[in-house]
This record gives sequence, structure tokens and C-alpha cells, in this order.
Amino acid sequence: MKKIILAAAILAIASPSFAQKLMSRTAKISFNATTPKSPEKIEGVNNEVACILDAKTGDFVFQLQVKSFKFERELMQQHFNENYMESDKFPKSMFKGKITNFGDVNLAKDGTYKVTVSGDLTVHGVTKTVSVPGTITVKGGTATASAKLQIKLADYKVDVPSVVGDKVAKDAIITIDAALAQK
Amino acid sequence: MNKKMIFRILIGLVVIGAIGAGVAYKMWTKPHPKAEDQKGIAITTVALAKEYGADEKAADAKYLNKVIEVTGIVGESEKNQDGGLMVVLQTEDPTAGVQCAMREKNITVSKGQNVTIKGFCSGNGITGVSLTDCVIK
Repeated sequence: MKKIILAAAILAIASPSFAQKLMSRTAKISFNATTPKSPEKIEGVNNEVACILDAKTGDFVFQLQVKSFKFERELMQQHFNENYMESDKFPKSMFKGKITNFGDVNLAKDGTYKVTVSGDLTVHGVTKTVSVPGTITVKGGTATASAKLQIKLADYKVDVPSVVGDKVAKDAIITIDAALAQK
Repeated sequence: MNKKMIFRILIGLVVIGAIGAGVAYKMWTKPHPKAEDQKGIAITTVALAKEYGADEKAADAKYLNKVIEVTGIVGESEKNQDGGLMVVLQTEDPTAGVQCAMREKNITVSKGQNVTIKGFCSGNGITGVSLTDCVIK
């Protein structure tokens, strides 16, 4: 009997129903600052975003290297890095926060959950508190987090020179897509 | 000013304009730089991770946005949402590998394989040092 209890106790400790951390190294964040007056689309994609979700607390971290944004045009990519984001000075952007209604999310049950994520967003060396609506879709052990937000470039001291004026949007649209797996 | 002179000035302006347009077009359509066209700084994944772990600022000054050639053992690989491959090379720290985002999609590597990968260093993050636009050497 004692042995059974011991075995059960060991089993309970050794195999929690869900790993504590869900992560991805290949989350996708795209940046779009196209306006109707842009000569072509101003869009960069970063497929190398690191993302960690604590499955116990709902703590959520995203981090990306600015230099990993890819634009179709090299000139645009160069301007993005050198003139706007100054990626030599500020190589990373980061979000550190929490799913505020994490109690509504059941990572063990397939479904789509509406969430609100709040925390600190650091872009171009400037940190601001943001609150973003998003969804978490759970399917067969993986969770996909998606969100779309608009950020005012001026809030993060990203200057758009008056020469380009209305050809670059003042508010960029950021799309986030992270397929998280247990690690 | 006679007519001939005006004609010459006009021709001159057209030529300057054409050169300007040519230069602008060349800049606008210039290709992305490629890691394989440059000489890379050769280093092992273990040494690179150690340098970044010890002093990120100093390591950034040395490696950030430069072409580096890392040699290490493949720990795992991950497909991104657009079908691209991220190869994670092992370091002494199991939670922080050197992450290499490959340029070509149809590359295969196997776990445990010893490889040298060339790419642009994009800095250190919560899951390790990153290299982007990489090719296998």
C-alpha cells in the first residue's frame, strides 16, 4: 500500500498535466506603414521572434531583433534600420506583460479564447504601457497567440522626416502570430 | 547667349538628369547583401554564447550586424510560419542556443550534426544569440 501511495506521489510530481512554459523562437511579427500615397507597400516581416508564455501565471514575453525584419526592398530595410529604428543603438524590441484574463483560458482544452494582454512595450528605446486585445487558439497541445495593434511612431520617438511626409504612415500596424509549443 | 549655347546647356541638363535617375534607380533596386559574399568572423557557438553572456554590449560592438561563421552541433530545428527553417545550435547552456534563421527553405539538417553556418548576427535575446539570413558553409 505504502509503495502504491509513494508511486502515485512520484507520478503526480513528475508528470504535471501541462508543461509550465510554452515557447517559440519563430513567432511572426509584421510591420506595415503603408499609406494610400506610398509608392509601394512598406512592410517588413520578422519570423524570428522569441516568445514565452508561462502556462501557470499567464506572464507573456515577446522579444525580437530589429535587424531580423525583412523587407522586399533592400533600400527600405536599410532605411528602417538606420534612419527609423536605429537598430545599432536599439537592437531589440520587447514586450513584457501578462494575459489579464488568463483565468478564462484553458490550455488543456481545444478552443479559441479572447484575451487581453497588458504590459510594457519597448520599441526604439522607449517603453510604454499598452493593453492589446488578442486571441489564443488551442489545438492539440499547441497554442497560437494572435493580435493586431496600431502604434503611433511618434510615441516611440521614431521620426518620419517631412520629406517623405504622407508616404509613410504615422501609425504602424503590427500583426503578431505566435505558434507556441511546450519546451 | 546664342542658340547653340542654350542647346548645349539643355543637353547637359538632360544628361545630368539621366545619370541622377540611373543612380536613384540603382539604389532603389539594389539587392540585399549576402553573407556568402563577405568574409565572416569565425567562432564556435560555445565561445559566441560565452562572449554574449559575459558582456552583451562588448559582444554587440564586435558582432552585431556583422557576418559571422559559427560552428557547432545542431540541437534542434523549428519551421517558421512561412516555411522557413530555424536551426538551433547547441551551446553549454541548454536554454540558450545560437539560433540561425536560414535563407533557403529546402535545407535539411539532422540533430547532432556538426555544421558551420554563415549569417548576419542580429544580437542576443531571451532564447539565445540570433543569426539571420544564413547559409550553410
